[in-house]
Amino acid sequence: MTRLLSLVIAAVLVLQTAASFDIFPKLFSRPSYVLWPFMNYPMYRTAHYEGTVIARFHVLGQTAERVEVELTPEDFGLNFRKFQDIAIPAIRRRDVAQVAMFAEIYREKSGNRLVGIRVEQHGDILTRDGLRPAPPAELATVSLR
Amino acid sequence: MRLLRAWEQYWFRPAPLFNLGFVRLVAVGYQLYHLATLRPRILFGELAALPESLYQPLVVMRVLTLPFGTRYRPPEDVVVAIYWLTLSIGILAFIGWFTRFSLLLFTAGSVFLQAFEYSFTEVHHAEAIVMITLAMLALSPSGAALSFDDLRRRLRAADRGGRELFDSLSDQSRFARWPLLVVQWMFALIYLSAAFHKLLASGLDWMNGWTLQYYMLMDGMRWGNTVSGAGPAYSAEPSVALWIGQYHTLATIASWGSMLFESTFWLAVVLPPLMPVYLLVGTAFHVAIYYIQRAPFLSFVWLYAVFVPWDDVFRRLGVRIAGHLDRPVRHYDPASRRSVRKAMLIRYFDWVGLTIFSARVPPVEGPASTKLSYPH
Repeated sequence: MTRLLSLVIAAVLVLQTAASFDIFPKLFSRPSYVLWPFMNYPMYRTAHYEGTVIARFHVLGQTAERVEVELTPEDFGLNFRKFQDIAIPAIRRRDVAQVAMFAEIYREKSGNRLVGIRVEQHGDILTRDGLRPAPPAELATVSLR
Repeated sequence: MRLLRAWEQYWFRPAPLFNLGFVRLVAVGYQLYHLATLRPRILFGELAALPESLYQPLVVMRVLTLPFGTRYRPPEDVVVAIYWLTLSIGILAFIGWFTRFSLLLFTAGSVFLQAFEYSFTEVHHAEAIVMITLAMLALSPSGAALSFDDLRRRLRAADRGGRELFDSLSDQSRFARWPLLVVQWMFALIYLSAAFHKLLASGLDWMNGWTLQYYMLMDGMRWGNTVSGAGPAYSAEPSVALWIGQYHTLATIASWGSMLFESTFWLAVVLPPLMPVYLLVGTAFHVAIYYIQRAPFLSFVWLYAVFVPWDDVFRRLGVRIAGHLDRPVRHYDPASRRSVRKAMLIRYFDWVGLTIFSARVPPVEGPASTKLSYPH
């Protein structure tokens, strides 16, 4: 019994160690969460400095009637995190197929067809004297015509 | 050979079953609470409506649904049914009724539901250790204390003539220690992973103060005070993070503090006398990041229960209470099956040992017995 349990203990600790220190991506070219619930914990790992922009992204869609609408996570049937981590990166890398998929979800929900989607970055600059508004910037536009 | 003996001595040294049973109550109770706060039709309905291209089943999801194919996507109704079954069986695991079986099913159901939620390219961290803890408890004799199974076993033994009252805090097993130690080491590895990734990606710059200010302000703007991580975000409610995030020196000190905590937490496992300090700091750390950044790691605080010697805590509490209260005396008749069963039942739930049990029926009721209670 103790031998079997020892194997279980060793397996659990080896898996968590491998996941913790990113050995899965090196061995199998798979993300560290591939063997969830054994995973790495790299949250908030990137350093930031004075002058960095705390960004807020606005996603704007143009309908076939040339009306511009602000698109929210609910418009794509997503929560905020998926909107932030899937939809916005898809627009930013101009992945037309994926953006078209979200536009189709929007059409099903609202009845309006989108012919273009763009992402704008707004936000605030982190300074020694507090936050200063950052100038808006257009990051990417995807045409769906 | 000596290494093997040391390994066995470390993991399989006799330990109180009470501690294991108590952690079962905490872990299963936490997971039950977590499940009960979900709105299954809304959560799983939203996931079911997502396009097929977003479904990237985790390995554990593929394994659990293997009979239906490696990319099987369970329909909403099936997931909701599994949710209700898991919740129901979790109640059995909590009270300890057919504990091993119910806990195994509860663990499988919980893993299935969480893995399904995480199979849409969004994976979070707070639940992983809960799943591993449940699995470890399911493989251990966690139902041998503080469970209906254990109580039934003791009452049956009483029926067969075992009339000695027991001390539920004293029962030991050589299989009661390893599951708690495994979870303790999981915590150590998790915190080390967090420190490792910060130092690898950013070096000492991570503690420059700006980094923590950035994350506090970003989360403060996103979630506000009232949104708990998955809503529409950019709450209009002002967040405490927007106030705290202004203070650069405070952020620098907090950065160094969290790095020190994460990189040295393993010391609490190796040197148990340090544990109270780490648990206090850890609790403050997770409560603070929850209220400031809405980072929902409160499950960690619950599972710190694996570090606490609960038998010792209840014994000390009992001594303290006994010093301030007149302890009630419960008389029972060892010859009466019913009387013994009643006394055992009271003893089972009297974790602090408040009641004094006396194996006789007092002949007369006098002034000293006004606080006493009598069987029959």
